[in-house]
Order: sequence, then structure tokens, then C-alpha cells
Amino acid sequence: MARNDSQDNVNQNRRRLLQAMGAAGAAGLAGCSGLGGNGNGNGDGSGLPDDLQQQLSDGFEEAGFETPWEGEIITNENPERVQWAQVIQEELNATEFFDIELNQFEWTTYVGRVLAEDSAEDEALVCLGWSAGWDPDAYIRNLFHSDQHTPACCNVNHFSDEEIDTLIDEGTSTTDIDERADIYQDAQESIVESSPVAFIRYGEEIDAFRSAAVEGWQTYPINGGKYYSVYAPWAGVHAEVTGDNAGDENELIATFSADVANTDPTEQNDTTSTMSTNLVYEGVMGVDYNGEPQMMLAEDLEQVSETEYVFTLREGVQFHPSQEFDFDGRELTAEDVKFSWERYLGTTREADVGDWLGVPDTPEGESADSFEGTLTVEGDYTLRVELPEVYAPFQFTVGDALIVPREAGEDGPLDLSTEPIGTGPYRLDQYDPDELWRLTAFDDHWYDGSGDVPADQPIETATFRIITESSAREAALRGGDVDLAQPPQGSVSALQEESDFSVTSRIAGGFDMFIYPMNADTPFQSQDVRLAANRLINRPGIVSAVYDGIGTPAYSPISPLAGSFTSEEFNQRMGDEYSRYYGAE
Amino acid sequence: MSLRRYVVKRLLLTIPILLGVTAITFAMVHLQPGDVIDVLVGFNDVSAETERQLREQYNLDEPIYVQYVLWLRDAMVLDFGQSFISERSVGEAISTRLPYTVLLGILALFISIAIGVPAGIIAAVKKGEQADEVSRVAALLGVATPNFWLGLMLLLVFSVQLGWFRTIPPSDVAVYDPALLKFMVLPAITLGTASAALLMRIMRSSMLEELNKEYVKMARAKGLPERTVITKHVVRNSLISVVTVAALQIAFIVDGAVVIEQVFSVRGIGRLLLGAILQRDFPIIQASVLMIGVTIVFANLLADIIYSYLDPRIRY
Repeated sequence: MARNDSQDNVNQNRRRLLQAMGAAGAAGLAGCSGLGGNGNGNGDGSGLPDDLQQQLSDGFEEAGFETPWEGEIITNENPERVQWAQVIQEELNATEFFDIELNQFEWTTYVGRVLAEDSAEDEALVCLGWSAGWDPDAYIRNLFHSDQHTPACCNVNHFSDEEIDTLIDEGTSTTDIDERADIYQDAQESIVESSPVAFIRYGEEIDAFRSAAVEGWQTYPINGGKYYSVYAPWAGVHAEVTGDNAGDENELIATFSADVANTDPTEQNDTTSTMSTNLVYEGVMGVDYNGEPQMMLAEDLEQVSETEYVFTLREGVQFHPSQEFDFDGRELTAEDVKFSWERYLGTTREADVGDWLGVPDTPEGESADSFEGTLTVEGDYTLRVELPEVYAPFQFTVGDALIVPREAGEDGPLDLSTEPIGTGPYRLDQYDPDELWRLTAFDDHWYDGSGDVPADQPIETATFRIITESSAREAALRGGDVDLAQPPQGSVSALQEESDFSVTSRIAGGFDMFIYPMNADTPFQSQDVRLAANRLINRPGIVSAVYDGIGTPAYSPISPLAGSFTSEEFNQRMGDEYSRYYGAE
Repeated sequence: MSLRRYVVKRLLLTIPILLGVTAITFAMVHLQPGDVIDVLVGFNDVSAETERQLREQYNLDEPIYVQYVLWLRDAMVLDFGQSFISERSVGEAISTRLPYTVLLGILALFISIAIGVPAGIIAAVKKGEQADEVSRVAALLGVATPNFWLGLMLLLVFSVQLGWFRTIPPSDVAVYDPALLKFMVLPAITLGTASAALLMRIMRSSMLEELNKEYVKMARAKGLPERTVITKHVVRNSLISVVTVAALQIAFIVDGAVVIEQVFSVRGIGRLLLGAILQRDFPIIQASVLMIGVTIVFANLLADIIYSYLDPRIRY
């Protein structure tokens, strides 16, 4: 299928990497230095267990390198990432097989280097994060499939393995859950065996709020959906403000860690922009807090065959009116859904639709003029979707493509980059760049109160203050100027212990990883060296000292968030095996 | 040369200075590693055709000197174009943020003068005494304390612990609103302390130099009270060097605003510039640097004008 061949279709997935790379916070360095070489080195390398020493020796001999190998670890300026990079640097250097320095780069420079076309020839060891979601494919394909080599996507060291490619492709074309789970388990074990990267840690999404101001808050594990909790009737979730905030305005004051760059869903390339509009736009479906696909703008989904779906849309769904564009709002129809999906073609968010609707191959330098699959409007509220081939994660991803009015077309009056106009429970009220983003409840939202969530939004106004410094966000929370924030990771445990604050967290859809330059002229060409390096990394120590206990040591790619696609038994086995080398209990 | 002619001459000199500043900034920004197209497309791998269109749209397909001339042509009529990232007007972005930075700068300068000048006078008059020693230590601390750290500490103590100030600026208020002025006190103190320390030391040494001059002995000999000698004669003559340093401190304050605005979430030029640098948003960087250049050039001009007021013998 063209999905695997098209460069454009991987763009969403490069964004996953960028979202994870940009994650920032602050944590104390206390304890980090004690991790390096824990139990495996005493300065002359003799502290290494014999089998590890032998494995490294064999690997260096096979790759044809003398010890110590002089190299570098590179990272961006994310404080925690720098700290775990230091830990690994120390652990590797303590073996005396390596003499590695650590270099930090400013974000744009770093990304440019890591995703460069010739990244596989770069001899540096790379520290990265990867952000994914509910479906297992998002954790594996873009990093390990051979058609995802940079610059197409994010296979940075150009790892290639035919067997793994086949498993990844089978994973998206197999609809039986148990069969899929087996496929991904095999794929993970094969990846860990080849070790193109070392998996370090599964992250956590964390929200802290003033106990007296907010009730009912739940943390959504995918960062872009952070503020669904304000009011998500499709997921059975809503929050309320209490105390001083409750009253005529019922205002929740929360935070963004960056300014809103763009409000057009086809041009949003950063997490904050996505976050800012996830109460404004809606998709036909969404994935709830338990990882279950739920209807949103669609009332019903019928799967006619393995590649054919029919959506029945809700009747009476209204678009927000806009004074600026003299748009009165109107009812959503199937034409709007078709238009919304088709407008993704040729944009940087093309993959949101292209992943399932397919993008045909085009000559070098040209863009496709239509998707491979077909969308057929069969009445005001019925849309038939025919996929070019089976796409197992369809129900998990179809909702990523957000629905906008047809008037946002090239000749239409609406400019979504200036004002986001959707069908969501909130609409934009005020935006002061670099200062605040304010949403107000949309009175004509489609939800009628038939579920557990009240028909009217309990929070009338949601104001998001743009505070880029994590310490300043914490100060604003503690000072009572905001009700809810994402605090620095180093402050989470302190906030948890204070009765004035509540902290909610969920394991996140993503992981940190350490990429080996296995296709560059380095000792990491040898599988033995990579496996030995894997064993040297004290993941529980990193989670404990660098992340203050937040997160889970990772030994395989798929986050426990993906439920049945992860194997606790495999992770436990790897953890037990590795712990022998860094001296953990 | 009359003051008016001098001012006109200085204003004309401003043109090559600003041309130089903008040309150097333009070159340096373009020499930075990383491609703005990557940022524009969110580091996605777009087709060559899309990339070509984007380069053409933003004149990035032209040689760098042509890009500079095109930018200059528009800047002459105050058209700074659109942000590469947000696609919003750069002129609007600058004009909405400038008042906050100006307010912060004025308050910081006021604080640095209000602390630095009297403390310098006291240190000079009480030379070698305890007050002098205290001022010396305070000056060292003021210069040595990183703005970033001081800002966070002030925020922690006076906003979080004592609750005297907000931790973030009030929203929906005018720049002259008392609530905003009150909020700006902590950022202004953070920004002003280092300058205050420097001004204090300059004032002290300048005063000591003046105090040893013949006219001071003469004033004392003719029986003028010490207070009059100090305030009417010595301080005024000492202020010339202080004014020079104070004018230079404006550059320092503008520079410091980049960090302070970040810590206190002030939506000023500094924060705008920092974000633009990280995103390679050339139009914003160029316009911000131009604005900062203009501010510094005019601050120095103002200092020159103040000289002639302080010392009527000065002619240009």
C-alpha cells in the first residue's frame, strides 16, 4: 500500500518524535552521579561481570575497533534528558571500552542533525523521546521499519530487518486482536534482540491542580488531549470548578507551556496548538480515557467489510458562528466531513488521513492530487469510506482528522489560522499572543445530556495562561493565580504531599530511547556491543534519580498504555536480566 | 556646534548604525544551523515542490543579500511582514509587546537610579565607614547574582510565600493599569539590581574624585554647610559619568528583559525575540533587533542631551 511508500504519510509520526523531544521540565541532579557504572566498573574495567566484559571484547574485535572508542552522545537541552545522557555516558566510560563526551544542542539545530538525510552516517549516540498513542503501530513503524529511514521519517540509524518489516506490515493489516497482539510481541522481541536502540523509560502525563478549585479532573494520557477533561461528553468525562472560581463565570485557569502557533488543524505541528483547539474542533470519533474508541460527531459506525466503513453522523450538530468572518454557523453534514478529510492532502498533517485513506505514489517532487481510497456522501448524514487496504487501527486514528466547515475552503470566507471554527463544546473567545488563550462554552453544542455528563458545560470559561518556564508555572499554581498546571517533574512528589494540591497522572504513550549509530563507522555496528550497552544502562536508577520516580523503566517499545499489546512478562524478564549487570536488587 | 545641530548629526549617524545592526543580525540569523523551512513544516518531510513554494513565498530562494534588501525596502515603510510561524503581522506583534518591555525597562531604570545614586553618595560621603563597606558588599552581590535566579527567588518569597504580588501578569488590563504596575515591581527589581550595583560604584568613585577637587575645598572654606556642598555642587558634577553609565545600562536592561520576561511571563519584546530565535522566525528576529537597536541609539542620544543640562559648559 502506498501508506508505506509515501514520504508525506509519515509526517504525523515525525511530529510524535518532536513532541517527545520538546518535553521539558526540571529535576535535581542529586543521585545521578552515583548511578554511573553502578556495580560494573571500578575504574579499570575489572568490575564488569565476565560475560559482559567478554561480550564487549568480542564486539569490539568483530567491529575492528581499539579501546577506548572515542565518541559523543548528543542531546537537546531538555534537563532530564541531559541528566540521563550523563548517567549513560558515565556507565559506558566506566567500562574503559569507551571514552565518550556529551554534547548538547539547541532544539532546532539538534532536530536538524538527528533527522538529516545522512543521519545514519552520524557517529553520535542520540538521546530521544518518542510520543505515540493507543495503537501499537505508532510505537514501532516509524522508528524501525526500513521504509522510514530519515529523511522520510524517524528511523534515525537506518535500521533494516526484513522480518521486522513484515511483522510491522502484518500488524496494521490484521484485525484480530489476539493475532495482532502476537505479531507485536514477536516484533518487539526481535527489535530488542537486534537492539538498534536502548529503551529507557515510559513517561507519565501529570496534572497538578488546586484541590479547592477543581473537581473531577482526569489526566488524559496523550499530551495533545490534555484538556479533554474540561468537558468530554463523548468520553463520559467532565470537570467542575469549585470555591472562588465557581460563580457567574465558572472559570478554570490552566496553563500552556508555549504560545499557540497555529489554529488550523492541517497546519498544527506542535503539541500546544493541538491542545489549544481540542475543545474547539471535534472528529467523527475519539478514544476515551480507557483506550476505547467512542463516537463523537458520528452517531454510528458500520463496518461493511474489512476495508469499508459507513459513518452515520449526528443530526443537529452546529458549527460555531464567527463575527470576524460574518459566519452564522450552520449544521454539519457529511459533505463537511468529506471536505475536512480531503483538505489534509498535501499538508504537513496529511498522514492524519493518509495513514488510512492512502496516498498514491507520485514522481519525485510532486504531490498527489487525491487520496487512494474513496469517500462517498450518501445523504446529509451518511458517509461511506472505502480504504485501499485493511487498516487495523482505523477506529483509533480516524478521529485525529478534525472536522471543519466547508467555508474554510480556498475560496471560502473562513481562515482557520486566524480563528478556529469547529463544532466542539467551546469556542475561541480571546487570544492574546504569549499571554492567554480563552475559550467560552458553546451553547449550541450537540450533546443533549443523555449520558453521565451534564448537558451544559459546568465550566463556562476556560482560560489558558501561556507560561513557558516550568518553575514559573509551579509558582503560579502555588500562588493561586492558576488552578491547574503541569509542574516540573522534580516538584511532583512535594505537591502530592500537600493537601492544597491534587496530582493526577497516567502512564503516557511514549518512551525515551538511546539510539546506537549501528550503521556508522562505530563499534555499535556489532550487535554484541549494542546488547552489552543495553545491559549497562540502569533504567530503574534513571527513573528514580533523574525523574524522581515518575515513569516506568522500559525494555521494549510499546508502552503499557497500549494494553494487550504489551507484555509485562517480557518487560519483567528483561528487567531481571539487566539488573544483574548494574547491581540492582 | 549647537545642541540642535548635534542632535541632527547624531540622528543621521543613526542610519548607518542601524543598517549595520540589521545587516549583521540578518547574516548571523541566516548563519545559524537549522533551516526555517524545517520549522515551518514541523520537521516533516515535505515534497520538493512544497519546499520550493515555501521558499518562494518567503523570498528564501533569493541570495541572502537580495533577501536583506527586500526586507530593508519593506522595513523603510514600517512593513515588517508576517511571522513565518504564526503567519501573523510582525508589526502588530512588536507593537502589542513593546509597551510591556518599555514599562519594565523604565521601572528597572528608575529602581537602579533610585537605589544606585543615593547609595553611591552615602558610600562616598561615609568612605571607609560601615555604610561604605555594606554598599560594597551589596554591589558585589547585586552584580554577581544571576537575574534568572533572583527572579525566581523573588517570585517564590514575595508572590508564593507572602502573597504580596501576583505570579503572572493580570490579564485584560491596560499597560498603565495599577494592577500591572504593581505586578511589574518584582521584575523591575530583578532587572534593576545589577544596574543599581554598578551605578552605585560609579557614583561613589565619581563623587570621591569630585570631593578632592579645589572647588569643594573652596566651598567648604567659605563656610557652606556640608549638605549644600554635597547636593548642590559635588553630586551634580558627579552625575555626568553616572548618566553615561545609566545610558549604557539601558542596553543591559533590554538584554536582561529577555530572561526576566521569561521568568515572570511578561509578554514583551524579549520573550518574543527568544521564541523567534528558537524557531528561526527571521521577520520577528529582524524587527525585534531593529527595535532594540533604535532604543539603545536613542538612549545614548538622550544621555548626550542630558550632559549639556548637567554641565552647561559642554558644547557639541
